[in-house]
Amino acid sequence: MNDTITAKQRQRITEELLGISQRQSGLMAQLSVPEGGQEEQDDENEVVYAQLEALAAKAAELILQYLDNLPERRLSRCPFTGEVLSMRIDDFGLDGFFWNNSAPRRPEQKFPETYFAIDGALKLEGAPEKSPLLCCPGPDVPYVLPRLLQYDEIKVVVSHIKIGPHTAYLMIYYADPAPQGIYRVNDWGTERYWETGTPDPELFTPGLYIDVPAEPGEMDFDLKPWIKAGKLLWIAPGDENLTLHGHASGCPYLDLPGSRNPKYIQNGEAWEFDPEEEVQVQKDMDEEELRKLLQEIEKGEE
Amino acid sequence: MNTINEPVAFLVKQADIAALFSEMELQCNEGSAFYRANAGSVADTDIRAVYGELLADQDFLRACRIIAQPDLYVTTRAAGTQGLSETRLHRKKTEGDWAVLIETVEDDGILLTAFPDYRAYLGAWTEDFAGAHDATTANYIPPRVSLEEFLFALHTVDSFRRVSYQNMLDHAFMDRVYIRIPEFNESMANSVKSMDIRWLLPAFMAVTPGIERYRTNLGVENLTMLLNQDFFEEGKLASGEDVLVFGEAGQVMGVEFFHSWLFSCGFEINVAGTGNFQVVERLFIAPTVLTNHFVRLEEAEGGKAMVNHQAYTKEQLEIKLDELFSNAFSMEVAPVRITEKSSPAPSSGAAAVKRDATPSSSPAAVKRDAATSSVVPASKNAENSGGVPRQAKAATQGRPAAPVQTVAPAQAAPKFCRNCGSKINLGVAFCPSCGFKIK
Repeated sequence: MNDTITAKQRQRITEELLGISQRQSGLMAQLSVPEGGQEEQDDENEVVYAQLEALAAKAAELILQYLDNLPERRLSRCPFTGEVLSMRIDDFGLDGFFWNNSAPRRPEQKFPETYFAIDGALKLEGAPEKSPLLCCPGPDVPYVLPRLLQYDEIKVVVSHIKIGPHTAYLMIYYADPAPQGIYRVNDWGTERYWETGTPDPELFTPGLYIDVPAEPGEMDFDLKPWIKAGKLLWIAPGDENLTLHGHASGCPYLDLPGSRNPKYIQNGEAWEFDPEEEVQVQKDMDEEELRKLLQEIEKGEE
Repeated sequence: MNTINEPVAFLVKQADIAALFSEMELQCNEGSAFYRANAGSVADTDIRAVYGELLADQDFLRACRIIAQPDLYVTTRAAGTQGLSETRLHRKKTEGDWAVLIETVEDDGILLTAFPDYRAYLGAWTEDFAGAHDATTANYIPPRVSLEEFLFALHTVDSFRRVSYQNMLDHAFMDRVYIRIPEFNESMANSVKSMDIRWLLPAFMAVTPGIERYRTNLGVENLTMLLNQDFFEEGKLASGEDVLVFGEAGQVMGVEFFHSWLFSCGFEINVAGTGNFQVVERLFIAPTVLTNHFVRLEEAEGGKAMVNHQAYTKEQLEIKLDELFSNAFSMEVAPVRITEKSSPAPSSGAAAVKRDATPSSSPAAVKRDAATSSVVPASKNAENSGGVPRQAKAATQGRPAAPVQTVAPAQAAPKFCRNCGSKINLGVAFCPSCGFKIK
C-alpha cells in the first residue's frame, strides 16, 4: 500500500493481527504440554513451529502494512527553530497496535533535531474501545514535568489532536541544545523511550529502549506559571498553521476539567491509577516496617 | 605560528593606515574595513619613523595581514546611550584563529584588538553587553514570524511606551491602555523614517546590517499577528471608534522596554564565497532587565525574511552565539580576489602604540611623547616605568572597547546627541536640543 491507511483497512489489519496473536498463543500452549515420547513430541512440535513461523510471517507483513501507511499529522512546532513536527500516528482510535502499552508498534519518525520527548494526555469522549490491548493514554488533562523544564534549554509545546472520538493533548518537549546526562520520559502511551545515550553516553551508545515513566507525583497540572516563565508554549486546537503562543491569556489548556490520574483502558473498560492509594499502601508498609525496626532495636538494648 | 592567550591591542592613526599597508605591501580585499578608504590620497608621513617599532612587531604585522585580507568578517552595529557605532571583526584562515577587531576611537584613532580566537571576542562582548539573566521569560514572538510582522510587534512595544509617556504627561491613568488605529499606523510610518534609535523599531532597522535588502510590505494585514499573539485586543470607545487595546504581550513587553531597555546590537557575518563575500548570519540582540532578546533573520522566498525571536538567559545567548559563530568560522572559504583600487590612503599623522586591550582604553588614556611621537599607555605602565615613554606590549584581560564611531565601510548613519539623544545633523558643533557640545 502506498496511500494512507483507511479506517476500514486499519480495522481489518488490527483484527487479523489479534487473530494471529490468539492462534499463536494457542500453538505456544500446545508446545508447552508434551504428551507421549520425545520423538513424537518433536514431530508434533515441528508442525507447530512451522505454523508459528507462518503466522509470524503473516503478522510481520500486516504490521508492515500498518506502520507504512499510518497517517502523518502535523502536530507541533519547535519553539526554538519554528520547525513543524509531523508524526505518523494511529489516530483512528485507541484500539490499534500503536497504543499497545507494553509492546507498541510505532513507525520510525523523522522529528526535528531539537525534539526531546513526547508525552500526552487524553480525555475519553464516549465509551472506551473494546480491545484486549492495554492502553495507557495518560490523565484527562495536560501536564508538564518540572524535572525536564528545570533546564533552561528545554521547553514544552502543548497541542491538541483527536484520537478517534477522544480529545488528546500532546506535550512535546524540545531542547536547544539537548542537555547531557538527564533521563527523558517514556513515549506517550508506552513503557519505553529510545535513549540515544545522553545520560550515559558510553553505556548506551548507539542507543536502547529504557523505561522512565512519568510518575503521577511529578506531574504539574498548573500550566500558567510555566507559560509565564516562557517554558510552555501552546498551539490552539484546530490551528492548521500551528502558530505558537507564548501568552497565558486565552490559553485553552488551562484549568481543564477532568481527572489528574493516569488511566488504563482494556476490553471496553477504563480505570485509573490512584497515586494516593499507592501512597497509603506505601505508608502502611513503612509504618509496619518502622514498628518492627523499633522492636528489634529495643530487643537489642535489653 | 605565534599565539596569544589574551587580547592585544594596537592604536594607529586612521590616516596612516594606507601608508602602513603600503609599507607592508598589503592590499585590501572587499572584506577589509579599509577597503576603498581614502583611496588616492598621498602620504606625507615618514611611516618608518613613526611606526618603526610596530612594523617590527610580529603580532602587529599579523593583525594587519588579517584586517587587510580577511576571508571572514563580522560587522557589528550598536545603538545605545552613546549613539550609533560600528565595529568590524576580521579573520583570515591562513593566519590561524586570530580575530581582529577594528574600531574607531577619538582623535582619528583606529584601535586594532587581536583576540586569540572568535570565542575570546564573544566572551568579551557578552561580558560587556549581554544581560546577566539566569531565568527564562516568556517569548511573546515565538518563531517564526515574517519580518513585517516582527516590525509591527516592535512598533507595538514602542506604541506602549509612547502611550505611557503621554499618559504620564497628561496625569492620566488607564486600566486598559489603548491606541487609536490611525495613530498606530501614522506613528509607525514616521518611526521607520526617523532612524531614531531611542525607539525599538528604528533601532532594529539602524543596527541590523543589511536589513534594508529585504523586501517588506508594511500593510495592515500584519496586525493579524498582533491580535493573534495578544499584543492587542480589539476594543471600542464610547464614541464607537475602534481602538487597539494592549493585551498581555503588548503590556508585558511594553513595560519591559519602557523601563529597562538601553542598548541594542546587530551582527552580520560574512564569509568569502565563490566570487564574493556571502552573508551567513544576520542577528539582532536587545538586552533588557528581563531577558536577552535575540533575533535571527532567515532568508525567505521573494527577497523576504523570516524572523526567529528568542528570549535568552545569558548562558543561552552565549551558547547560541557560539554555535552560530562556530558554524561560520568553520565554513570553507574561497580565495578572495584583490582589486587594484583597494589600497587605503596614506596621510599625515604620528601616533603608534601597542597597548592593553581594556574597555576603557581610548586616545584620552594614551600618553604621547611629543619629541619622539611615540605613545604609551598613561596609566599603570607609565607609572611603573617611572614615566619613561615606551612602546607597551601588554596583554591584559581584554575586552572590546565600548563601541565607537563608524569605521570606513559603514554606511552614513544619522547622529544623535550623546547627552539628550536628539537627532543632530552632520557637521553641527552643538546639539540643537540641549546645547551639548558635539565636537
